[in-house]
Formats: sequence, structure tokens, C-alpha cells
Amino acid sequence: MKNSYQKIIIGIFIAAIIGNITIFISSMKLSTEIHSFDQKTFVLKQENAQLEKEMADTESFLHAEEFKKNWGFVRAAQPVYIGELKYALNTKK
Amino acid sequence: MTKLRLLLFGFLAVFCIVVLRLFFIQILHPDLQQDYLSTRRLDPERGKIYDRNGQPIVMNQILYKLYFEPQLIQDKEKTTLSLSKILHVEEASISSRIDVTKKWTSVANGVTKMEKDAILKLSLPGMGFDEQWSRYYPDASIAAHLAGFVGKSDDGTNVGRSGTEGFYDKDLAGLPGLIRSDLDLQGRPIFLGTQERIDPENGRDLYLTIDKSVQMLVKEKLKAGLLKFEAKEGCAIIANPNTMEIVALSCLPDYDPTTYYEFDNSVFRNAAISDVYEPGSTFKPLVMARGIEAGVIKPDTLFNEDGPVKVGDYTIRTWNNSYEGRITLIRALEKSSNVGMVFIGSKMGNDRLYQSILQYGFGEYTNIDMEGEASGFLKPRKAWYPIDYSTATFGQGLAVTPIQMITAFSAVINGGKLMKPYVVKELRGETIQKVEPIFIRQVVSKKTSDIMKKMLLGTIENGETKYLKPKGYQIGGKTGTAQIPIEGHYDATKTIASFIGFSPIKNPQFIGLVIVKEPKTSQWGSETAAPIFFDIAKELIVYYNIAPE
Repeated sequence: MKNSYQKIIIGIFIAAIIGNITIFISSMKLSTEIHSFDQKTFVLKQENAQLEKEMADTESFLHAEEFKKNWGFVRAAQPVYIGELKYALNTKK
Repeated sequence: MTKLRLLLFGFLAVFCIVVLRLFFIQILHPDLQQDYLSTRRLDPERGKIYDRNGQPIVMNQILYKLYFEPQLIQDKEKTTLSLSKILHVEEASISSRIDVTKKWTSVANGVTKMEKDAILKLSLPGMGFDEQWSRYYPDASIAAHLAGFVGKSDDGTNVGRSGTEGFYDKDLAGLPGLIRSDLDLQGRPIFLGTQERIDPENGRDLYLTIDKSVQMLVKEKLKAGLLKFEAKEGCAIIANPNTMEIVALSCLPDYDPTTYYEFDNSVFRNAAISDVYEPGSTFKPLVMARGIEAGVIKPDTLFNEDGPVKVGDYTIRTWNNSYEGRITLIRALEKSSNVGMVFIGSKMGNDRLYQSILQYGFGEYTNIDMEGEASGFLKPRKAWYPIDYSTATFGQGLAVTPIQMITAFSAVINGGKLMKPYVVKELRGETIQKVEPIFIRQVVSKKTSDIMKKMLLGTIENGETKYLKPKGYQIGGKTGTAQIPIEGHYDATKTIASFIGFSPIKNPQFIGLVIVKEPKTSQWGSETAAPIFFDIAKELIVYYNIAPE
């Protein structure tokens, strides 16, 4: 009878130790996962903000203006002959 | 029994090891900077600002703060040189941050992602980055005064200043969250320990009544006009006169909200709502409308414009000192006759005139949803002398804000309804809150309003100046030129020229006010502010697809 009790107590001890270790390892894994998801969420947030910024840039008037200049949709600059003032002052052809 | 004892001793030995280890960690070598129960504030994302069509005006971006841990830096010279090249900062200012007596020093704020990636590629020890949310303006200063900017409060937190950023700061800022968790030595959360998390509530996005295309157009035309007329400052407001939604608002000079700290405080003032000026002749239609409404005058009422009028010790003349004899009030408005307005004032009587000014909302806030509004200045009734009643009829001797002026003028042409001006039409967070136009009071009847619209068309068609207006289209409006009062008298060389106009006549779709301060090429509103308005109006007629009348 006494032996049986001892065996049961030892069994409970071993089960408790194994259970404890299992829970501890699981919690470690979960913690790591939480941490990793937090990091991933943050990176996604950063990427999202960056993409939003790029979209806004593309739609902006400043971008359109740059685009317009690159494609030559601008009024041609009038040459001013600073070196030879007689040309600059002569408005008649 | 022996086995059990062995087990017990085993447990005791492990327990002692744990206790000794804890004693070693917590007592002998405590790391005071390591906080196992970490409480961290989770910052909400500040709400964005869009125009009426959902085009972004103010966005958020992540920038980085670069910091050093000087004791870990191995090659000071290499670090300084490399960072100087990437960040375009003087080497001396970087090397001064490498102070080995300190554990941590901040090096640079506002580092972009590209710069950060370039620095990380160098794999230099002893430096790191902290993320910082900051505002981003895709179209730079397109709506600087309207949007405002985000500055810092005394405790270093972000706070909206001026414009909508200031007025809607609480809505935009959102609510911070909180995270409390036990961390292990590597900074990872311990699942079985304390884990509390309250998510932040992001700020609400603002959808403005502003149309970015119109805003851009107005700013460009105003800028070109100010350069052409060599003016000191200028403002232009475009609104829907039926609802008083502000479609565009630009005041120059303005500032770049990204680098607001490089500008003088004076440029942050939104002149459209914060500055007062004497409206001059643009005020005349308001008085005339109330006179017609009261039944004391009619548009075809005749009066004798036979010369200057004496009021007490003062003499009131027409702007060009020319007089046409017996003319109607229609003609008086066309030629902007001060003498004619004094006649109307005498017909109305002082009480009615004063009450009329109050009815239009002068002397009180319009309560526009932007920070920094002024109430204008209206002398207390007791301080009014007979000359004040006379000069008030042609817009002198009282100070109004541009937003008050356009609001009052809108009432004259929209059927008589005084509406509250506003710039935000929607707040979007978890729910959508729409802002509806607010009717304040009926100032004149629809009949009077229709009469006034025709008279204002006449001032453009038959006025002293011929304007370059688009063929087939009808535009109504009124010029104004007011001298600037300085130390109790008017400076004849300095004027505030203005023009207020609208189109189409039958059902006005837009109203615009252009104010040009101290133009040098000409002092008159008809030669400075009016051409800027007509330049804008021509483009708006096309943009709004308005049919010829």
C-alpha cells in the first residue's frame, strides 16, 4: 500500500515536472511568435506608409510638373542675349 | 526511502542554485536599466488630411532618429566620414556626438529610409535607429495656411498648430494605447507573465471642402499677380456661395510646413481669417442690399450727385472726384460713388445701418473651423460719430476679416442666406461624421438678392474699367480700394486693393475674393485684384463646366 502511494507521488512529481517544462517551452514558443508577429506587423506598417507616400507622390502636382518638364510639355524658353545687349534690346525682328 | 531522499536533495540543490543565481543577478550585478516589467506607450497614427476628392494633402511617413552608443564605436574616423557623406552633415558635428563618457547620444533626426538602408549597409558598430512618425506633404506648401503644421509641445509630444491641424488636433491625434508585459533577458515577452495591451485609437482622417486642383490654380495665379503688381502680401478665397464651403484658400507669403521651424512666426498667421482690413467699396453692395430690403431705396431711385458731401468737418468725395448729376443708384454702384452711398446711409438712418452691419456678422467670429480666427473690429455703438455712419456705407472706418467679407457677400448673392463658412466636410474614423452646411440667418430676401446680382453684373459690364472676361459668360463683382490707417490717419501711398466676384449670375457656383496688400504698380483694386480674380475665374468656368449665360 505504502509502495503504491510512493509510486503515485513520484508519478505526480514527474508528470508535474514534464507538464511544467512543456508549458514553459510552449510559452517560450508563443512569446517568440508574439514577438515575431509584432515585428512583422511593424514592418508591414512601415511598408504600408512607404507605399502610401509613393502613391501620394505619384498623384501629386509636383510629380506631374516634373513629368511634364521631362516630356517637354512646357513653353519654350525665350533666349536672352545678355552678352550682346543689342539683341536683348531689339524687340523687332 | 533512499531514492526519495535523493530526489529531495536533488530538488533542494536545484532550488539553491536558482536562489544563488537570483542573488547574483539581482543583488551582486543588478542591471538597473533592464526593466523586466515593461510599460510602453503605443502611439496612434495621426489622421491624414485629404481634399474633397480624396487626394492627399497631408500624409504620414516614418523617419528615423539615428543614435550612437559611443562606447561601442570602434573606428571613430570611418564612422564620421561615412555618415557625413550619407547624411550630408559636416564631419565635425558628427564627431562631436561621439562622446565616450556617454552611453547614448542622438545624432540626427529625420533620417529617411534610403539613408537608413545606406548606413546599415556599412555594418558599423555602435549605432542604431528609432522610428519617428512625421508629417509628409506630397504637394509641399500648396495649402500651408489651411492645413497648418504639427509642432512640438513643451513635453515634446506632437501637437497641431494653426489651420485644420490646430482646430482638429484632438480628432487628428487619436488616443494612445498601452502595452505592459514581462520581458525576458532578450527583450521578448514572457507569455505566462503580465501581458496587458490596450490598442491605440488612430486619429480620424479629415476630408476637406478644398479642391486641390482649384487650390493649386488659385495659388499660382495669386503668386503671379503679386509678382506682377509688386505687392507685399495677398490672399485669395474661393467658395461655394450657397453653402460657404471653402474650395480654395491661399495667402502669400506662406511657408513650407515640413520645415516650419525655419520660418518666421509672422508667416504662420493665416491672413484670410486672422488679419483685418478696411473693405472699402466691396462693402457698398452689402449696404445697398439692406437699403433695398428695408424699402427705403430702389435700384432706380434718383439722387443728385452734384459734388462732394460735407459731414461735420469732413468732406466726402468720389474716388476720381468726378460727379454726374442726377443718376440712379444702379449707376452709383457702377461708378462706385461714395457720395451715392452717403445718400443711401441717410435714407437708411443710423440705427438701421448699424443693425445691418451686425446682421452680416461683422464684429463677431464666423466660427470657421480653422485655428486663429479674428473677430474683426467694430467700434461700440456709443463711440460712433456722424462721420462713422457715413464712411461705413462705403466700407471705411470698420475692420473686417476676409472670411467675414466673403461670407457676408455670399449672403447677398445666394438668396439672402448667411451661411457659416467651413473647410472640413467629413471626419472619417471608425464612423463617418459628415459636416452639413449651417444656415445662420436670412439677411435679405431672395428678391433683393436677385436685384443685387443684376446690379453687380452691371458694375462689371458698365463700370469704369473694362475687364478681360470670357466671352458669353456673365460675372458679377465689385472692386475695393482702401487706404491703410497708420497712427490715426490714412497713408495715401499704401492701399489694400480687393475684388470680390462670382459667376454665373443666375445660380452662382463660385464666389472669389482677392486681396492685394500694398501693390506698387497701381493702387486700385480694379487694376490689381480684379485681373487676378478674372484670371482665376476664366479657369474655374472651364473647370466647373459652366455654360454661357
